[in-house]
Amino acid sequence: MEKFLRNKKAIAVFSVPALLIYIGMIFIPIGFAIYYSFIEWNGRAGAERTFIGLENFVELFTNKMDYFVPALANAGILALLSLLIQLPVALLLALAIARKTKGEGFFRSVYFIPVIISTAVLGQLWQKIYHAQYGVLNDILRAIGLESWTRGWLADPKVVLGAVFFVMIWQYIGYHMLLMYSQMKTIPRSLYEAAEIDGASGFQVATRITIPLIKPMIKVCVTFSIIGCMKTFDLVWVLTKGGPFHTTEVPTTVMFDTIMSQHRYGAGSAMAIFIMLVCLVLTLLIMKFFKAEDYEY
Amino acid sequence: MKKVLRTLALATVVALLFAILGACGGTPASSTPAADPPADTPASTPAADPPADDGAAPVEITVWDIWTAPLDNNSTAWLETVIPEFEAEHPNIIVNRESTENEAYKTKFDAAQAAGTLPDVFFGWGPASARELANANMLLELDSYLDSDYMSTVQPGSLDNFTFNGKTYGLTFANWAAALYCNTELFEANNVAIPTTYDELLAAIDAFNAAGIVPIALPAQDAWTIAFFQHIMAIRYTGAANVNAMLNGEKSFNDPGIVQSAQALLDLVAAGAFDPNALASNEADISTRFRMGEFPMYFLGDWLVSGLEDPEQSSIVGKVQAINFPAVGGEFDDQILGGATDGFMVNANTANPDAAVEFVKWVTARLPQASFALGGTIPTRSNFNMADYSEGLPALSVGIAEYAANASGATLAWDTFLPEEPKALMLDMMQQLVGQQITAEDFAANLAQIIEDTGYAQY
Amino acid sequence: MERRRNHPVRSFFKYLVLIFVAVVQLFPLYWLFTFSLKNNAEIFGGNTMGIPQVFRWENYQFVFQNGNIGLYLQNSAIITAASILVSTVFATMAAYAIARMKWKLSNAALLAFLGGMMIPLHAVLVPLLIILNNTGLTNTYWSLILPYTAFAMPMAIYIFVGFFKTIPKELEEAACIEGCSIYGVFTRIMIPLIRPAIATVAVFTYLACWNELMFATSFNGGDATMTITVGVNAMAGRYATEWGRVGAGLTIATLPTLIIYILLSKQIQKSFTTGAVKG
Repeated sequence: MEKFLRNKKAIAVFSVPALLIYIGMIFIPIGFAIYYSFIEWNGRAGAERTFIGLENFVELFTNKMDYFVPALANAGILALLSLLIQLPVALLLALAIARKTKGEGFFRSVYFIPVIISTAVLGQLWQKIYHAQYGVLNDILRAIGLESWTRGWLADPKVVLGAVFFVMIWQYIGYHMLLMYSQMKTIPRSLYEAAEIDGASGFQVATRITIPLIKPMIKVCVTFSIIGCMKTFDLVWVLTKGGPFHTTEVPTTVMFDTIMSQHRYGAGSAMAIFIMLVCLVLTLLIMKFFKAEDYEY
Repeated sequence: MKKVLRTLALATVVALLFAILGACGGTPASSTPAADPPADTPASTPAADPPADDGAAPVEITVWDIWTAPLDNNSTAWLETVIPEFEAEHPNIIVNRESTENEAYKTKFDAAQAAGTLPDVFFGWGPASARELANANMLLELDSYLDSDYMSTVQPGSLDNFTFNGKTYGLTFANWAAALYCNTELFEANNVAIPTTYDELLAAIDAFNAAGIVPIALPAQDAWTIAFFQHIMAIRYTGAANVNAMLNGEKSFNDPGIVQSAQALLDLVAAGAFDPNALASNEADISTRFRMGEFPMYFLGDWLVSGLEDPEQSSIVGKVQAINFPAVGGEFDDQILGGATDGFMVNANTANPDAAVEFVKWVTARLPQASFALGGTIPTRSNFNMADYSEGLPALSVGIAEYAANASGATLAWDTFLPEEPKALMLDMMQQLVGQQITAEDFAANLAQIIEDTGYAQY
Repeated sequence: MERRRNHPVRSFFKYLVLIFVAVVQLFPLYWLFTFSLKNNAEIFGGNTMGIPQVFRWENYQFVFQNGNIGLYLQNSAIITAASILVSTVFATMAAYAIARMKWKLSNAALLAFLGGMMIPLHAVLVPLLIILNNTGLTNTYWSLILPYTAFAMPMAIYIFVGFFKTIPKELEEAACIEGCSIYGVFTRIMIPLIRPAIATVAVFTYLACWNELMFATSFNGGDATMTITVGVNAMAGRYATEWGRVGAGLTIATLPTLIIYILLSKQIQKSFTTGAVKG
């Protein structure tokens, strides 16, 4: 058996095809990005490139005009919200529909819809919900007598971050729900039946059987959500472009602006490398955390 | 696995079904009105293999532009007039046209500049963006191709934004000009006079505020639209020649006229000129809402006109007056915000420079007229006679074209002129002015400072 | 399945919540569809959320008559299907080697593959364009299939590894004793067991490829390889946009997604009855 699973040739056959595509489409481009992060370059192929060492990385934290540090802080807040709100809600929904629920297929399909709808559409929708004059949110507030709360939700720097993050948290609940649900579906029915014969309550079944058994997927969800928060771009871009007054900048909107609008390839690539490093460190921490309580069969 | 594959296959079949539906839907397009370009113009089909043994081998040139929407006059002129004529006259040149929506184009264009994968001919903006490409030796110098025949049709000064160190790197076809659009229906209903002076503008703002109407539409998320107000006031107070000198780095922005212009914007904000939702609104949304008749005033480029004249787009057709920005009673009251910023450039590494330049010359000479005839922007041609076209043209286009032609000076929007870092700071400060977070003095001083810090200043 | 201990009141409450959430989640779909039947006057202010006063089916007619929407759908279908197929095959293989086989670098390999997820895409746009241009792949389907595959694999591998790890060792041992090759174990035993994972990953890969705009705009030009997302985006004008028509284009682009999601997610549910092996 050991020999069977140590078959070097088989390992190569299994992993080389993926690796080849990876090298061409991911590792080499990362190599370029690392190279760019050490130079000053205005993003024109024929223009001069000056090697400036680590200066771009230092600039990330000293150049106040780039708003990179506040953007990192925003991503951190988003990640926390995701861990504390998004994933628990997704787990509850997955638990609720995975077992003994009529219309399971319907709920599963419907809960995922916000993930399916393109971000451009969701951006349009929420811009209209949050609008100062004809927004539904203000209509509701007026109807329940909270006139003083009404405002342009995406224009007021005091509330805009919350308004944007709310949409982002909401949009991906279905995503994590589906991941958790799909692993719940591999849990053998016999385990549940045994528990029921023992008289376990629904809560006990969830905490003692379902959640421990889908722990690998919870780890996946935590990882994806943290990486996703560090890299989030689309919805912020369509809703606010990072404004007003840069209050809703996230690392990638700053990076996009630096690379694309300002053509500062060195600085922008340094941001990209830094974002990657943060993701890498956080992922290692998550792996370590979950390893401590790895569930073995 | 098999089932998953079967599902995928099924999904592909579904998509193909849509494809077939689409193909069938496309055929009866011949009966659609002229505003809709035919679905299968020769220009938009991918280049076929060149026919063999047909005398000289045809050359293929790839052209990038940004005209995708059928509502765009340039798009229609391009599809129906200019490219078909060019191909008829040049059987040996195959034009492989690739159009990309404006915002997506910026990313595509940036990526191609960095990767060095620009096509033979491409649409682009002067002077800031074109200047960088010229400095990086990526543009074909056009002077040797510009015979006197062509040059005789060029409006003096209209190639300036593509001319660097005395060499021409791009050809323009249209001037844009900013206009203050006034919704006459709202003006009349509220008994407000169309403002001709800055004081009247402030009075109009008060009157509309009193009536509970947001006076001026402002898509402040696109910060350059805020900048328009400050730019035009800078022209009014210190003159286009001075502003252009500052933009060229020859004079300092720390100038009383610039302070005054920023203060004028602050005054508009303080007077309640703009929408409380302005900072969350973009140009596309606000333009649409202006066309729906929601706002009395809107200060934007002449590109707004075509949508305003289209009854399917606008509920205020014929109820709009477009005027030059109100006067302050100085010597620069006739000057405008605008100029020739759109152009076509040729890749320095093109395999077919002759064909590429011939194409650019051809289209820049003909596109503006064809486009203007449809109500588009103002041609940069000296042989252009408005009277030949103005019949049946929207009064708005003609009106803007007239005051633009008579202006004693003009300045481009600063974000198309300034190098990257001053530009970013300038746009940031525009939002801060709307949020009343900085003073007019700081605005001028900060801008002057960064121009000096980045080494752009020559004074 | 009889529920003897489920209290009717609690059950009622549970369904109340589930249905409420369902309404919230369904709203964007409703909104997109009604959006596509309105004109600008309704979309901007007049009637942003309600049912259209007049159902403007001509928005759809316009979409079908302008541009090559059929061709774009076909291109998107080919590119997306190929990306899902290639990434699923390669990712299951790599994940199996990482999760089940014994080699020193397996954890490092997992992290390296996962690294692909951490790259901000805008930072690799130019390098990818250089690579694709130098290999002559721009303006072909491959210029999208290859990057889409590569960027789909990190997530796929990570999910598959999680699933493979929960499969009991006894299965492989039994197969090993019966003389099955490792390739046989992989294709005949392991793959069927992770079918729900494959379906899940296919959904996500589908979404990522189908809706992608930046690569699709930058690596290709012209109608021949244009995807539906680029085609619909092009309906927004520089100067004036009839948003209802864009909505119609978006609805048409979303419909296949919805159908495919429903089909694939049925696979996930079905595995409940057929895939139970352990315990």
